[in-house]
Amino acid sequence: MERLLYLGCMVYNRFPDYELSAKAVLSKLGFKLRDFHEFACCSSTFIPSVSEAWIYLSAYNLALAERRGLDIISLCGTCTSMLKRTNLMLKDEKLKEEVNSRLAGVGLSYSGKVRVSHLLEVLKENEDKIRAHVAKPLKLRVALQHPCNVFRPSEVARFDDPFKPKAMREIVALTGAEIVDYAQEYECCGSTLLLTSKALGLGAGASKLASAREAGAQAIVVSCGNCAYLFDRHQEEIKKQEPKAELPTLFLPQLLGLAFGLSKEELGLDIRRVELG
Amino acid sequence: MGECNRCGACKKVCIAFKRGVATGASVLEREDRFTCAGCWKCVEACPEGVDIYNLMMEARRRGELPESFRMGVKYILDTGYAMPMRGVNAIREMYRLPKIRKVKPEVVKKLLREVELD
Ligand code: SF4
Ligand code: SF4
Repeated sequence: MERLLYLGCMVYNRFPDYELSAKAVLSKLGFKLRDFHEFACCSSTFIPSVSEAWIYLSAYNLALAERRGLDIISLCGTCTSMLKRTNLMLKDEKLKEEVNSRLAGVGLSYSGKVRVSHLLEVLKENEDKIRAHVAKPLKLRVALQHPCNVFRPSEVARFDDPFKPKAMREIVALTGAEIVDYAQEYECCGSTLLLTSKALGLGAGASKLASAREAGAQAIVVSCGNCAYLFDRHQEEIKKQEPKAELPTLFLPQLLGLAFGLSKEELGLDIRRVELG
Repeated sequence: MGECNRCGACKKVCIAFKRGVATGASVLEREDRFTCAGCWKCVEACPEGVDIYNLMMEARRRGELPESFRMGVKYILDTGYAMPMRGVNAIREMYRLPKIRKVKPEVVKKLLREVELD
C-alpha cells in the first residue's frame, strides 16, 4: 500500500488542497503515500510540441519511482497520460535502450516496472473500503467534471469508457451526494484552450458551469488540477462574462473526505474556502 | 496505424470546432494546431485509427510556436517545471504540507539537451 504521489506542476504550484485532501483520504483507505522528491514535469503538452525528446523527461520520473521501488499515483489527467504513454512506448526495446542511455547520464535506469494510476483508478479499485468509511452521507447536489486524459486516448489510458466514463459517478454516489445530469457533462472543460486564447477557454468554462448550475448543482467536482485552474482560478472572470456560471469547485477527495467526516483543516477547506450555495 | 480519409469524424467531437475557432477537413488539417484542448476525443472518434496524437505533435514541431507554449517550454528547460515555482514552499507550509526537493536544473538540461528555443 506504499505509493509515490506524483503532483505534477499544476497541483504542486497551485492546488495544495488537492494534494492534502488526496493524502488524507488515501491514508484513511490504508495507503502510505510518499512525497516525490525531485520529480519533474511530465513534459505536458509543451515539450512534445517542440521535440521527440519529451520522453526522456517523462521517463526520468518513472526511473526515480523505480529506484524507490514504488508505483505512482497521479492527480491530473495529462500527467497520467504522459507517464502511461511513456510506459507503453518503452515496450519497444530499442527505444528503451535509447532512453536508458540518456538516463544513465543522470545516474538512473528504467526497466519499465512502475505502474501509473490516476487517483480515480485507485479509488475505483477501493470502492468497498470507501463505502465502509462513509460516516456522514452528504446532502449536496453536485455536477461532475470527468478528467479527459484519464480516459483518453483509451489505448494509453486503459481505464473506463472513453466517451462516457462511469468511475467518477460510481465513486461520488458512495458519498450520498446527488449527482445532477447536465447537458455538457461529458464535454472537455476547455482549460488548455486558455493557453492560446483566454476568451475561448473562459467561454468553454462559462458554458459548462452554467449548464451544471442550471441542472441544480451546488458545486462542480473535479479530479484534475487543470480543470480546477479554469473553474476555480478563473471563476471571477467567468462570472463576469456569464453570471449564471457562478459555481464553486470541489476536488473529488475533498468531497470524499467530507463524507468520511474529516475536518475542514484536513481537507484544506479552511484555507481555500468553498461556499456551497 | 491508419490513413486519413477526411471523413470529418474527428472534427465533429472537437471542442475547438464546436466553439467555432477551427476550420478545415479534419483536426489535422486545421491551420492552428495549438488551439487544442488536448481532450483527444478526436483520437477516439477516428474510424481509421489515424495516429492523431503523434501527427499533431509532429505538425506543431514544424510550425511557429505560440508565446504561451514558448514560455512553457522555457520554464521546463530552465527549472524542470512548466511554471515558476517561487514561493511554493511557503504556500505548502500554510497547508501544513512538507517541503519537496526540486529537480536539479542540470539534470533537466542533460535529459533535454537537444531541445532549444530559437
Ligand atoms: S476521423 Fe480520422 S479519418 Fe476521419 S478525418 Fe479525422 S483523422 Fe481523418
Ligand atoms: S484533442 Fe484537440 S483537436 Fe482533438 S478533439 Fe480535442 S481539442 Fe480537438
